[in-house]
Amino acid sequence: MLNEWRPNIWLVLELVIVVCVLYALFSSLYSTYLIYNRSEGMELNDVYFASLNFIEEDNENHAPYDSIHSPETDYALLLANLRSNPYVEVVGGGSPNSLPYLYNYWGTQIEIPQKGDRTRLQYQVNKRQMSPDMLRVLRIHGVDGQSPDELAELIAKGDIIISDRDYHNDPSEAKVDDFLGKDVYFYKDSLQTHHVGAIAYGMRRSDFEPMWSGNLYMNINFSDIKYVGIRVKPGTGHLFAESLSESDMQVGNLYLSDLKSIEDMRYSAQIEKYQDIRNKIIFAVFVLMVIFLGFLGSFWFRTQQRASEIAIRKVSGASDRAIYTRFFGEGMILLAVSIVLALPLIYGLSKTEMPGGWTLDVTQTATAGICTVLILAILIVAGIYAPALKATRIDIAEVLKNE
Amino acid sequence: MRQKFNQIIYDIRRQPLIGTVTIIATALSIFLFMVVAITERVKVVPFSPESCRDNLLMGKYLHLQKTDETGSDMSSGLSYYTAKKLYENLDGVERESFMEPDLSATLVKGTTQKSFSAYSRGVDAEFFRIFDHSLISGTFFTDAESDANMPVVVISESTARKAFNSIDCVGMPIIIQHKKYIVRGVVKDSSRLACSACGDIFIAKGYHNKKEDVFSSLSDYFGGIAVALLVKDDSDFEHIRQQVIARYKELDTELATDNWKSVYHEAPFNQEILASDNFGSNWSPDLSQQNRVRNLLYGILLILPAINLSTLLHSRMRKRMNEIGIRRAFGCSRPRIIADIITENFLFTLAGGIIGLALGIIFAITYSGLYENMETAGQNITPAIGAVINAGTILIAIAVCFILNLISAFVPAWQASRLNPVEAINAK
Repeated sequence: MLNEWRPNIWLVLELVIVVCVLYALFSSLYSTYLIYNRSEGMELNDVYFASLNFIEEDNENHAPYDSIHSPETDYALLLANLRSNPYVEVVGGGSPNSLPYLYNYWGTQIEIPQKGDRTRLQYQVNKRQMSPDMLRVLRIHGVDGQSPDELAELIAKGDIIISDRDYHNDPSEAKVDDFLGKDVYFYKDSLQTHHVGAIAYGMRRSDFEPMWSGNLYMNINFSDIKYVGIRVKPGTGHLFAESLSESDMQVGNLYLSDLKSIEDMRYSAQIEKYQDIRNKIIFAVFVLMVIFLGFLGSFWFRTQQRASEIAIRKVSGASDRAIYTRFFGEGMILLAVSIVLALPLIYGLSKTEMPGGWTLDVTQTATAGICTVLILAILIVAGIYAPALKATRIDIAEVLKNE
Repeated sequence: MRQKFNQIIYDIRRQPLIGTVTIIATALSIFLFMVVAITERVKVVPFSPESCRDNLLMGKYLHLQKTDETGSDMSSGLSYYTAKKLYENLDGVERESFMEPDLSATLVKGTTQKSFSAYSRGVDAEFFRIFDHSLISGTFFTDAESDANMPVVVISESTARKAFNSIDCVGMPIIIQHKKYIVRGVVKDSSRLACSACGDIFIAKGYHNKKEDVFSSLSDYFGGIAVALLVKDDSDFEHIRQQVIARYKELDTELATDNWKSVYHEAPFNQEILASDNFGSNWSPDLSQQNRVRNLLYGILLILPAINLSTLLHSRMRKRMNEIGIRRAFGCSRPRIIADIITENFLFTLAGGIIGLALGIIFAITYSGLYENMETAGQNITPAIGAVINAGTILIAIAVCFILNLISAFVPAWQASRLNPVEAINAK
């Protein structure tokens, strides 16, 4: 092995770079997986959304209202039409911020005034206004086991529902439980208080983004409704979309457009993250291919150069297994040396902020590191296997005839 | 050169595995490098309807901040009032178009049975003089029509076929968001990669007659439009930016009475910034991080295969020690040995490079997933062929081959040239 020190230096240098690159890729992918894998506390399959539009008065197609008809009656009829569809389970309305995968954020703070000099309790939330039925559409559950129906009843009577957030970096920050059952007011709006009726699961803006703040679910005024959410019976999405006629989509001056399934919305919203993951995997495969080809080429040449040494070993009684072990051992020693050299760089990388803005803990760092080493070891063994196989099959007499 | 080719063919025959591995490794790295490079270049190279990219600047946003201790701020798109104030009649600008920067999903119905969704944007007549949409039938709308907000539209070929089953629809009514418009013209479909100019429907929208034109309150500074500036060939962007900065200062004088000031964020943006998506209404574009990551990626894509190829070349050279020893013994100079090895290796790299480039181009043209983003998911985003195959792409490929060859071949070539002829001839 020492005879090959010059090519080995190149291989070690290559491995040091690959170890660092792979560790960075795997830890990033692992971090993404950990965020993706968090519990949602809601069921988003079989859900459709459509935007709710209004034909303005300056449009020639606007139908003037009389004492009986109003936008509210149009809306009620529009929802009734949708509910009468045999494939529909429940229909609700909401603001743009009531939908997942739209990346909207309406930040506000809920506060509880404290007596005396005590600092008031504050909690940052993303305000999601929706009709009670929208909670049923999204099937949002309470953390204490409340069903979507129970939560819907709470916001129907004027309560608000809040959720926990993903990170609690500051121990002095208010906890979500501090607000349960209390009357709170919104930031800079101390005139009106709201009763926190329950703690529910939060709605993330994307499957790949942690919840930086809590969520606030509260009832919505008709004028703020911009989207209609429709939950269809399981597996009937396509039948529902095909069954819709234009009359189902328009009542009076209100009409629905841009009907999308939650799957389409999720795909559009997360396409860049999917690409990011795909690119990282392709890049990881590329560096592994490079390592594979590097070891294959180098060790293939070495078997030719060391043919007489291998032949003498075999004549001296070395088994095929011993030859394999020797070659694989050399590969593993190169890997071990590379890991030792790469450790300071890996340490630096392990302190780097991951996608989603957090750092991996020791266990997670170790997991990413072990994955890196294992996969590299497998690839090195695969790259060395063919040359090692060739080495075990050399014609001893032919090789040694000139010695 | 023929001798070099013969040498390579002999080399491959003599060591088929190492020769093949060398070419595959080169092809793989050039393929990946070119896919990354093409994906990046498609965002900035000019192609129809954005043939003007080299001369295009866009002003999109305004950011205002309170001058009192609260420091509260507001930011959004421009109103016509602000757009005019900041960008109208700049020296060095040939044309300016007031347009909606983002596409809106709209409900469309023509004479066919079903209504459908299409993407529209409001534009003025000047828009079609900056962005070279190809007219198939009819005409673009006129300045008078857009200034008067006449209900006229220009639609894309595929929209015409969906709405009318034909492209012969000039003069026919089309219902967009329940409002009737008349089709003025039909243009060829444009790739969604032309993010500033693409669309299915272009609605005539001049802002001259809008109430936004008259300033009455702070909210009138904000709106939903952007300004596309076509800069004259002999003008430089910095000159335009300096004028815009001066206009911001003028705006500040106006805002000071209400204790507000503007925050300048490097506007107007060039195509590189527009393509980066790394800008917003309330922050300045910063391409340094993005460029660092890109350069690191390019570096790894070059260095790793180069080390690999270097190891393989080193192995090939050891097989040719006798030959090199004999050449040295007959008086061949060291620089000549180095030059010969580097040239031979360059031909190897070029062979792999041609395979890699061809695969990269095929992949970049056929796999639209490379260019998808939130706005374009599931739509026509096939890049124009000219945006993928052009002199720039070929030059990059040749340059990459050259650099890859130089990095990988120099050390083994230098080592080979230092061989002692006697030891080299005696080597097995």
